[in-house]
Order: sequence, then C-alpha cells, then structure tokens
Amino acid sequence: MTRRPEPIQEIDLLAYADGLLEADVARKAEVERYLSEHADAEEFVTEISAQNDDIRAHYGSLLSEPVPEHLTAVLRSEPAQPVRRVLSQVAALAALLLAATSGGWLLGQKGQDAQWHLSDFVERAATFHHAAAIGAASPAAGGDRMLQPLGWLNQRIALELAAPDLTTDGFNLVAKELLGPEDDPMVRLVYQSGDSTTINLFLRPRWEGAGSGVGKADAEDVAVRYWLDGPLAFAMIIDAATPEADHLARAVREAVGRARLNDGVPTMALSPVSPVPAQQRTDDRQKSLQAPRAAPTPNMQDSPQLRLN
Amino acid sequence: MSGVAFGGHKEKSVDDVKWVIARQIPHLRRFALALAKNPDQADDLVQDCLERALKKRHLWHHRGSLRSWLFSMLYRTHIDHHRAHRRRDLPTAPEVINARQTQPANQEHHVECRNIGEALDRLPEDQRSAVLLVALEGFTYDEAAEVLKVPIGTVRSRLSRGRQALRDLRASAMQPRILRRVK
Repeated sequence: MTRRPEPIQEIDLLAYADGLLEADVARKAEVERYLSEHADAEEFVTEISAQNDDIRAHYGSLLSEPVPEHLTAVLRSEPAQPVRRVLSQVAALAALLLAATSGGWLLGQKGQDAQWHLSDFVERAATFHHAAAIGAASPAAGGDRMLQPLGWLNQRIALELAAPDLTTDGFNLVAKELLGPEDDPMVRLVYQSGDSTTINLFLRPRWEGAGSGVGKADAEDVAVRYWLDGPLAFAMIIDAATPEADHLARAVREAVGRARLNDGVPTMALSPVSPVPAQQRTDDRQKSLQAPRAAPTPNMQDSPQLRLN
Repeated sequence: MSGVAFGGHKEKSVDDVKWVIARQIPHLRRFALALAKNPDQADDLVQDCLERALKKRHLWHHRGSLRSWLFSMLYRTHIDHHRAHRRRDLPTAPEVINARQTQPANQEHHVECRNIGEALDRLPEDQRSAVLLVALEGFTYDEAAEVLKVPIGTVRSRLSRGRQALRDLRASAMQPRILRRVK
C-alpha cells in the first residue's frame, strides 16, 4: 500500500524556493510535480527565488568587507578599550562644553568666577561619566560622606532632598556616590532603564551666581543637560541618543521641586563653609512637622535662583 | 598524530567557540546593518552582541546551533537598542549600501537592488527579520524560529506575509518601468 502524498501547501512552495528541500528528495519531487501542473504556483516560486537573489545581491558585498579591529579585539579578550562611539562622543562633548562655556552664554551666569564654577562642574561630571563608561575607577571622596552622599548634600544645602524618582519614566536608581576631592565633591546618582540606558545625574551645592534655563550639549549617542536650581547645580548625562533628554531633565527638575515642597525650605543662608549642624536641622524639621504646613517662605519663592525655565 | 600543538582540552574548547564566533562576524555585521540601517549602529550592535556572547557562552551548553544562538543574541540586542533609542524607523540611506558596494553593478541591476532594499525597509520589523534570516542568511525555518524566539508557525506566517508584501511592492515598483518600456 502506498502512502498518499500530503497536499502541497504554501510552506512547501516557500521551502522549495528557499532551497530547504534539497535534503528531502521525495518531497522536493512532489513539489516539482505540483509546479509542473500549476502555473500560478510556478510563478510564485519564481518570484520568491528572484526575491532571494535580489536580497543577496543587495547585501552580498558586505561579507567581503574587512572586519573592524575593535570587533576582533573583543574575541581576543583584550582589556576593554574605549572603542564605543559613545566614548569618542564624550570627547566631542567636552569640546562642545568648552565652546559653550568659553562663549559666555552658559546659563546667563554673572561674573567670571561663577561662570568658571559651573563650566568646571559640568566638565568634571563629563569626566566622571567617561570614567564610568570605560570602567575606570572614579576618585571617590573619602570619609563618612561615602556612606550617605545625599545626607552629606542635604547637610550642605539645608534641605531634605531625596533622589529624584524616575520610575515612571522607566529608570530605577541603581547607585549613588560622592565623587571628587574632599574640598569640592559632587554627588552622582546613577539610574538605569530595563534596556541598560544609563542616566548619570550629578549634583553639587552652589552659592554663586544666578541662572535660568537648561544648558544642552548633544553628540550622537550622548546627551547632556545642565541647570541651576536653588542651592544646587545639576548635570545630567545620558549615554544614549534620546529625544527624551529634555523630558527627563524636566522630570528631574519636577521631582526635585516636589521634594522641596514636601520637605520645607531652608531657613538660613547657605554657605559652603558653614553647613547646618545636624541637630539644628533635626530641630527645624521637628518644628516643621508640628506646625501646620505653610506656604514656602516668600524669600525662597521670590528668589531668582528658583525661577528657572 | 601528536596532540601537543592543541594544548589542554578545556582551553581548546574555548578557542573553538571563539573561532566559530569569529567566522560569523561578517554575517552578523550584514544582518545588523539590515536591521539597524546604519553602519555605525550596526557595528555597535555587533560589538554588544559579541561581548554578551562571550560573557554568556556558558549558557549555550552546546544545545542547538551556535550560529542561531549568536544571531538570536544579536536580534535581542537590536531590540534593546531600538527601545533605548526609541527612534523612528528610517529607511536605509541609499548611500549606506552604495558606498559599500565593492563591485560596480550594471544600472538595471542597481535599480533592482535599490527596489528590494526599499521594499524590505517598508516591511514591519518582525516580517523583515524573518525574511532576512531565511533569504539572506539561509536559516531554515526552525532555526529562524529559534533566533526570533517564536514558534515555527509564527515564522511561517511572518514569511508568508512578508514575501507577499515584497511581491506587491516589487510589482508596484516595476510597473512604471514596464510602462516606459512599452512606450
């Protein structure tokens, strides 16, 4: 008794055109018999074969190209080299920042000293970002401040600032640290999304100058946004080209604003050399909790430092 | 035959894996370019893929084809990049392909190539990937399913729709030329 052949389906025709029936001689013969009896099927197979020829011709020459050295180096397990475009783009960013700051338009700073401070801060942030990207250790600030970077920062600015919550934008806080020299450190908050896009958010206290607006520096795969907000300078560096850099910067600023409204406002002048004693801050906070929530003090609301675009 | 030159078994095994991976780099670059439509992003994709492959090679366990495993990793990496960049789908710039053509093609064939490339760019991502794996890289349907992490029936469906869309696009692209010839 002979087996009835299975009916020829579209997948048989596709497989025949794609050369996948070469090892199945019997099925190939059945398809060829079918094609000899069905002109429309024959035309279909001919077109699919032509598609394959065109697609291979379109991309065919790429196979003969020499493989870039940085790709073969990966297989030699050589130490990670800064071959990613993003890293070369950090260098481009540094040039952008230099041009921006030397042009004097950076955030409308008043006075040469203040201008130097902010540009230096953003350049240092870019340097730390670069070091993290190539896996190099960044100089960490020593002492107890290592343990509580935001605690240290809050002590300096007399606010209870929490790390901005970016979860609604798909980013989770994965690290926080204090970097830089003892006398001029900065806080770095690292956020990552599910697809490994990283945001490095740098914060440092600032006491000089007024500013408004958000400064920008973009390379193809790196976006930098930096701004002043009250007693803090911010630099946000995203290691991917993203049209959402502006949106994320806005999200950070809003989160910082919410934190400030929730936690009250400083009641004393800020000074880089006179941090608010911890006990006094605790006392102030206790009073704030006991008293009815009041509107932010006029001097804070009216401060030009808080009127940012 | 002496085995002295081959060293220890474990070391040899690791090197063999790297050797196989190295042979696939040109194919990975080609597939990456077809997916990313940009040479720099394609090489970034391949680099990420190779780094992931070396880190995770213990997960391969010699089950299935190493080639399928690599292409699957590349495809996953592409999806990750795509989400990260959240960029719009842009057609492959003609100069991307043209600049890489090492052999001058005759004008008629050149136009054919442009048409198929543009037609592929218009396909939905899932159909384009399935067609490229089979037509360009010669994967069988079950291998393509393994790469894309979908059932074979899904691959068949994507291929069927993708092929038909290419036929339609090709037919519409050829129409003006046929009319010109008739004149």
